[in-house]
Amino acid sequence: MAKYQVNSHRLNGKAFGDVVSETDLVGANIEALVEGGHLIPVIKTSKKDEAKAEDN
Amino acid sequence: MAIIAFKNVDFTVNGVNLSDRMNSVVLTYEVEQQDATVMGGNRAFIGGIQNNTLEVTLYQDFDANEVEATIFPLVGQTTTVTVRPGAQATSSTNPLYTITGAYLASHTPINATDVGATSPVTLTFTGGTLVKTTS
Repeated sequence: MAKYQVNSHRLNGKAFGDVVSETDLVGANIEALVEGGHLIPVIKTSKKDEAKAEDN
Repeated sequence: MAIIAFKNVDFTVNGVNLSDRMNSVVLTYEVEQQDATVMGGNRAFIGGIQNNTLEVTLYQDFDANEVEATIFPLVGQTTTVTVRPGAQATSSTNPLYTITGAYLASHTPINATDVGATSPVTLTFTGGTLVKTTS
């Protein structure tokens, strides 16, 4: 399930920096919140990616 | 119960609270009437489907997370809008009205008709399902 970091002080019931999932945003147009800068998608990095980054 | 003068109406669109950029809001709850008249009777109606409208006027603000950033991506989309008489907790004397699936057809990003004046943005959300909550 996709997760998002709150990047706004205006989101009802959410604090700046909170990490929320789609279920926390029921009824919301998530794409519009991302486009408007209220949410930032949290990109998961796999352990393989982390290991590669360390190697480099 | 006292007569109310609206001074601090609480308004959110897509979960974003823009109350402090709002100047006016009008919520119209309608259930369309459908003719159910039968032979031998008088004109009769039954309730059809909801046909809700929420018209809100905001002052334009181009800063991050403000009016333009919030509204522009919603044009041509459906979202949830809420309004209640005051910012305090929802109760029987401060009911919360929620429209889910409200459609925004248009937006006026630039409304500069008077030199030096503020730029009001009037939005009309239509359709969706209205629910009134008192707790």
